[in-house]
Amino acid sequence: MTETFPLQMECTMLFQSNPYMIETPEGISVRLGRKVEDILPVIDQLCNQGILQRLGDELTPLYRYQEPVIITNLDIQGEAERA
Amino acid sequence: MQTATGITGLDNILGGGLPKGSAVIVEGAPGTGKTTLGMQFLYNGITEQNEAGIFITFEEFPDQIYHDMKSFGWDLRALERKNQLRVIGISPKILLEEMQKSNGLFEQMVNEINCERLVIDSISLLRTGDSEKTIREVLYTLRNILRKFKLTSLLIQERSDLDGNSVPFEHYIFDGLIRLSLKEHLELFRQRTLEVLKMRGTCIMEGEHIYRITENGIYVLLASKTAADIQESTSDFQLKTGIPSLDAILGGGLDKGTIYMLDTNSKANYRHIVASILAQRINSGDRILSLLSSIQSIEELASLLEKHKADVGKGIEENRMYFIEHYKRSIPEKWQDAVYHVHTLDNKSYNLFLKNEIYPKMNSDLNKHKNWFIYYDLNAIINERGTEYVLRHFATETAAARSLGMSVLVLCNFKEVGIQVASFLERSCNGVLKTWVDGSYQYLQITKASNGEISKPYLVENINDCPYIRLL
Repeated sequence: MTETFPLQMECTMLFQSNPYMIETPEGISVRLGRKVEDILPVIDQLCNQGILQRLGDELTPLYRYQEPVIITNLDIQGEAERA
Repeated sequence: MQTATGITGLDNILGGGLPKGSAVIVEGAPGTGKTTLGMQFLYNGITEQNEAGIFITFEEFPDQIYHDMKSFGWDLRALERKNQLRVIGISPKILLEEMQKSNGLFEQMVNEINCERLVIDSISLLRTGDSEKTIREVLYTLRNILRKFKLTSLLIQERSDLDGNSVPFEHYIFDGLIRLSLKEHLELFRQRTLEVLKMRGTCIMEGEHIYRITENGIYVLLASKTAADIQESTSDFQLKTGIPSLDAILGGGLDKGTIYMLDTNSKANYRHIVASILAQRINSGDRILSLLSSIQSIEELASLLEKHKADVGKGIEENRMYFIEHYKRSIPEKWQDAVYHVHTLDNKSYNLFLKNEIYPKMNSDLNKHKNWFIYYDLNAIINERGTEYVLRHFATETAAARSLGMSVLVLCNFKEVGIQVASFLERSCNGVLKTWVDGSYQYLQITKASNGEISKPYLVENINDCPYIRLL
């Protein structure tokens, strides 16, 4: 995990800066200038964390960024009442 | 139906904008601003037409585009957050696969933001590796998909081999072609030009137009627009020429109270142009002063004007038409009073005759709010009085006419008088209509106008009915 952390950061930053980029693992490796075999486990981790979304079939997977949900209007009173 | 690009100048060239739903190639060398033009088309679509857009980039990182476009004040990320724009980084292969899938990613994204405009940067990358036949099929499929979604699209392409003999098939497949070029200018500088070479379903302004990449994006300066003479162009009064196509080019007709030069070479037929303009003035009730040439007697002129539905005899009878005759020719008895014979006058006496007889007569009429139109055959004056006389008096005569609010049509052959004299004459006039023969065709072009418009060369076609010519 700690070994892949810098690559995770690189990959996250890539998709965060380019939120509508859609790439194959090979494409991501070219964009980052990293080896595909190093990228593959990182992509899996990011998918599990909900940062990336896997599209397409298993043979030709595609990945894109999942924008984090930001709550802009929080109803505190409502939340308190529900609690 | 057209959709405005919002790019200054380009919409004028396109006659309003791109045909809605069309797929147009933007071709150019590196550094010509293809990406900027594409993004400006999308940005203006969102901010001015409320049309959402997608920008597809194959090689460039979207974040580089966000950054670059910020220099024009375009906050693309803000537009993405409002679901009005998407800058999609994708490979050409995946894009094509997704475009062909039913409810594929492409279709989903188009529907998600209700996309109406699309830019692909660049379709040159669809060409790599495959055979020409395959590439043709790919581009044909792409065009059909864009049509299916009714997307108005700009497809960016690296400049093709312009010197090659073959035309790339993309130019046939797609609806239009806009070419951006970078040329040497004044040795040290580069000049950027934009030319629309093809646009189905719309009339375009032909020619190369200079553009600049300004702080607000691309700005196209139309080639046919020079600095306008504000003072003259504010005039509301225009004189119809009687030739509808010429009036259209002139923006309504000749400006009243100004001096126009008709520059014609020896082969060109100018007679119907002059006759039509004169006939209009006669029938409008103007006072006319016409300088007769060696090749056109008063009777010949009357006969020509009759074809243009103007009655010289009636004009003379009503004391509205006068002629200056430099040649010893017989004049019909009933028209004698309308003709000034000047063949016996030397240059000095001729000039005095104009000052003492013609100008006061005109002045008296002008005080009664009568309009004067003068047809001045400068070729005759040059032949009879010499270039020296013209150089000395022409500017004064035209200035006097202008100050009195008279409209003047001057006939001259610039080629015959030489560059220096032609340049002087051109300066003295407010507008120049040039007509010439090239091969088997005659052309006409407005090369100078008070409103700054320079027209393209029009073909002059002979027609059977009055005014006997039409400009195409």
